[in-house]
Amino acid sequence: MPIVADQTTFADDAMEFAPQLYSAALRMARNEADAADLVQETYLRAYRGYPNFTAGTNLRAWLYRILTNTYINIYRARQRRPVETDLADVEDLYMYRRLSTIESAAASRSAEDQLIDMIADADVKQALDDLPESFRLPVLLADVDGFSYKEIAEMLAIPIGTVMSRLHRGRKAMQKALYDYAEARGFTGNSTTATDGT
Amino acid sequence: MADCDKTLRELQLFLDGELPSDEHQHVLGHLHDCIECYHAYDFQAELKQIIARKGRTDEMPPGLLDRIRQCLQGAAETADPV
Repeated sequence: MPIVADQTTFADDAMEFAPQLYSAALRMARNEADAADLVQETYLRAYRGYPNFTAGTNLRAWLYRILTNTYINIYRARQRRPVETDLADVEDLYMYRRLSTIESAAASRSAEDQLIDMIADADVKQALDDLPESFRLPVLLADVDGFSYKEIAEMLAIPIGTVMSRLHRGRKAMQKALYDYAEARGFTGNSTTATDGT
Repeated sequence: MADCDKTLRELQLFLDGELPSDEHQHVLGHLHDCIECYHAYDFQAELKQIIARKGRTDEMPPGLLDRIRQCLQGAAETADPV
């Protein structure tokens, strides 16, 4: 028989994950009040379900699964469901390929460092927030929270192949957004082109 | 060249640790031999780290932890005795 988790130790076991769950909730709900409510509801559901958690398995992944479900079932349903937009197609390795068109190969190493240095916290969050939801969740769970494709597939209840294709397209859009922000700050020395389309 | 195309196509899977071990080894070998692909790999790896680090810098609102603990306490007290 699997070892059943003890509800009385739940808070001690699970509270250490609150800061990262809050950050993920904020990227999902995109406002602080909903993010705080979302984390609280996640803990309440996790507490009630804790007797079903198999002790010794991945508690963090289990909490994220509850967070994701809570978000999808309650918060997203509550918002008038936005029209699910698609992403414009962007070439693979967008930032990297752009760099090689600006700088000669010999100088590109410093251009890369310069570009990476220019990416601010706010840029990463904005780029994530701007992704359509079906892309935002896989990118968030893979790139910020470091879950495997299989774990993400389980959390979102979609096939692994779908996780992979959404990640692929979501990441390309992220790269384009991050590149555009850097360019708007004058990274390429051609700030008049700034961001397009917005 | 065929190896370069394949490596760049599989770079993200490689970085995610999602390639089967023989293919992972193959990409690793190619990155060892090809400076251009290594360069692309290095950039993508650094970008991945930056996104992971900077996408998660939000401070929890003060009082949220206490609020959660109180909520759990309430749930424990109102739970039906078994």
